[in-house]
Parts: sequence; structure tokens; C-alpha cells
Amino acid sequence: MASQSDPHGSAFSAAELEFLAEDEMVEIVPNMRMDPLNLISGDFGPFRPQIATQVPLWLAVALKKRGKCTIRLPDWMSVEKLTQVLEAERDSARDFQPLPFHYVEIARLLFDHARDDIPDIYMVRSLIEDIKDVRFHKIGTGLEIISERTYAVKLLNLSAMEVNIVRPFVAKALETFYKLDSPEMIQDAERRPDARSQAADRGPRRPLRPR
Amino acid sequence: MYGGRERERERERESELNFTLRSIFRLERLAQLGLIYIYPTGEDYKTRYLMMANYFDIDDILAEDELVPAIFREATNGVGLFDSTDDMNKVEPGSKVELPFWLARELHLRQAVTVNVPPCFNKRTREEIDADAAHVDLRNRCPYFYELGYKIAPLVGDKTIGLVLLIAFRTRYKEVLIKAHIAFEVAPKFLSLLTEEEVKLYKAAQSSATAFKKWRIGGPRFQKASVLGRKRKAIQ
Repeated sequence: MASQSDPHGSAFSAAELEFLAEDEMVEIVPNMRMDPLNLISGDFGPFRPQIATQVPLWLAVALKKRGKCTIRLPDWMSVEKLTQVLEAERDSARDFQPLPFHYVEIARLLFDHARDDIPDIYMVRSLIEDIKDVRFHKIGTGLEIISERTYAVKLLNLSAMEVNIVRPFVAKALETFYKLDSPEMIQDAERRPDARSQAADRGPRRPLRPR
Repeated sequence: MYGGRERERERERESELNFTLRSIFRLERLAQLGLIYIYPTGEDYKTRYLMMANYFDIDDILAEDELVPAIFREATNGVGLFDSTDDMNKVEPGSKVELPFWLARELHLRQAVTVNVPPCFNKRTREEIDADAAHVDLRNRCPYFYELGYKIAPLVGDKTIGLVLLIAFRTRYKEVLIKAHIAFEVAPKFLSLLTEEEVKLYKAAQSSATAFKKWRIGGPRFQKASVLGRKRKAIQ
């Protein structure tokens, strides 16, 4: 994994993730007239007043800062959608709701730069905070199942920021378990007739978390 | 005639061993300090190569500096510093010494010493781990408990060490996880119980969580260029 901030390459910094999130597309309504932009990542525009168009978030933020457009709130950031998501998150102890991969970063960028385009901004902000807290708590409790029988952890619908935060910890924990459970350390001890009582407690092979 | 040759051979062996001892002692030390590089040779190649993988890992070096009890099998000259009961600068066969692990391993491979199980894996510790692994002060016993156990188990041929390590880590992992991810405040006492490996795990979780919090709260989104706020200096 290529990362500038961490020499060991085990994690991105939050700022790097924010940078990656700026490539996500959003819809803007320009209030100026401009020819299409032909960029390496694609062609955006043409920009006509009151005609909505899709642009990457970084471009939207740049135009917004100059007062050249309003940003349309993405569907998933409406109060109704977020309320639904929050309720579903609270109802299920394990599953995560599908949200955009960069939802934390996108929300942050929009709150910073386009607060006047978001109706009910306080409501939206607190809903996103709540969703994030519920999900983080779920991740924390979910990681308790890691043991020497875990070879991988399946995390469906987890977002970039969430994965990034637990990555160093999970990688280290799995590595240590793998090392301590290596055949030359354990196998023979189990086969011994007078193996310690815990040998029995090791239990059957635990399947991966069903998801 | 026979006795003389025997003695001569013994002396030869002794000096050979002394040479080995001294050279290992110096070379390993120099290599640890990063001043020289020991090239892997012969049939040892694979093990050597595997050791090289974390050769410059400071934790690996520190873990190997842990003292382990050992018994000399041979009389050895020139290493009186291990057992300085007299000024003969000599170690008698059968004398008990404490060697750093890296030296004990090399001497063990050359059949010069017998390595014993270090006290941090004794019966008492095992019983405490069985009772409540999460609250055993492993750091006090051995700051590199897992690493040392992992390295020493094949040397002393004690197959139960692996299991002790695994049980201890399985229980203590959960504790670290809860403290690092879910709890807001941790008692400083908790950290003082953890081994170096566990502290690293805890720090990994903590630092990424704090980095995220810092990003979220924002800090200065716009930084002032260093030239801007500066006042002009009066010219003398």
C-alpha cells in the first residue's frame, strides 16, 4: 500500500483519505457559463446556469469557494435516508448498512465548504455522527472474535475511514496470533497425552463470521 | 604418552572453544550495533536468512538481550565475567550463569551450554495465567514475553511454552482491544502490565484513533504561510 505518511505503509493518514474521497462525483448547479473541462480524469461540463452537471468533489469545492455553483446534496445525505440508515445500524448487531465508501470524508468536506447548500445541517451532521459512532462501536465489539482460529476478517460495507483506523491494530493482532499458533509452536503439545487442560478448551475450529 | 595426547587434545578443544566464544561475542555484538554484517554461510543459510528478515528490528534485538539461565557443559577460559567467583577468568563445567539469549543460542548450537527455561515461564506464572491472564504483570517478568517464548521454545524443547503464550495472548488481546477501542480513559496501571508486544498493539490502535479524531476536529484548515505573520525587524 503506497502511503506517504507512514513509512511502513500500513495506513493512510486521514488527510490522504480525504484526498482520495475528492474524486467521488457530486452534482452541482453552476451559476456561470463555461466550456467543458477536458481533464485527464475525464470531461466535465459544459457548465450552463441552472443546468445540473456531474463533477468530482474537488472541482465542486473549488467552484463553490469561488461562488460559481451550488452543490446538490447526495441522496444518501438526506435526513430521511440517514434516519433509516441509523435505525438499521442500531437494529442489527453485526451488519453494516451500505453507505458510500468515503461517506465520512464526503460529509466532512460538504460540511466544511457547502454548509449553505445543506438543509437541516445540524440534523444531518448529528445523524452522521451517530451513524459513525454506532458503526465504530460495532467494529470494536466485532473484533473480539479474533483468535488463533481467525485467518481473515470479513468486513462487508465498511468504509475507507473505518477500515483505515482498525488496519494497524488488526494486522498486528492477526500477525501475532498467526505466529503463536504456528505448527512448530503448538501441534506437538496438543498431541501429548498429558497436554495441559487448556488444550481441550481450544474448541472446534471456529468458522469465519457469517456475513 | 596417551595421557599427554589426551590432555593436548583437550587443550586444543578448549582453545578452539575459547576462540569461538570470543569471536561470537565480538562479532554478534558488532553486528547488533550495525557496524558489520554477518554473511549467511553453509547449511545454516536458511535459518540465518530467516533471522535476517528482522535483523535491524530494534525490538528483536532487545528481545534477544533478555537473560536466560544456562549451564556450561565445558570448562571455558576467558569468560570469567559470567561467573566471577574467583579471578581465574575461567568458567567451570556445570556452573550456572545467566546469558543474554543471543549468546545462549549460539553457544547452545555449539553444544557449549545447556539452556534452561527462563523464570518467566515457571509454574507460578503459568498458574497465574491460567487463573486470570489479563491481570498478570508480564512486563515485570519479561518485557518481551511472547518474543522470547517463541524463540526459546525450540531451544529448550519445552512444547508447553507455545500453549502458554497462545492462551495468554488470546485473553490479553481482548483486554487490549477493549481498552484501546472502546474505553475512553485507561488507568496507567493497565499499561504497566503489558509486554512490549502488547503495548505496540495498543499504541497502533490508539494512534490511528487519535489521528482520526484530530482530523475530524479539524485543527487549522488553513495554515498561515510563515512569512505572513512576521514583523519586520528593526535595522540597527
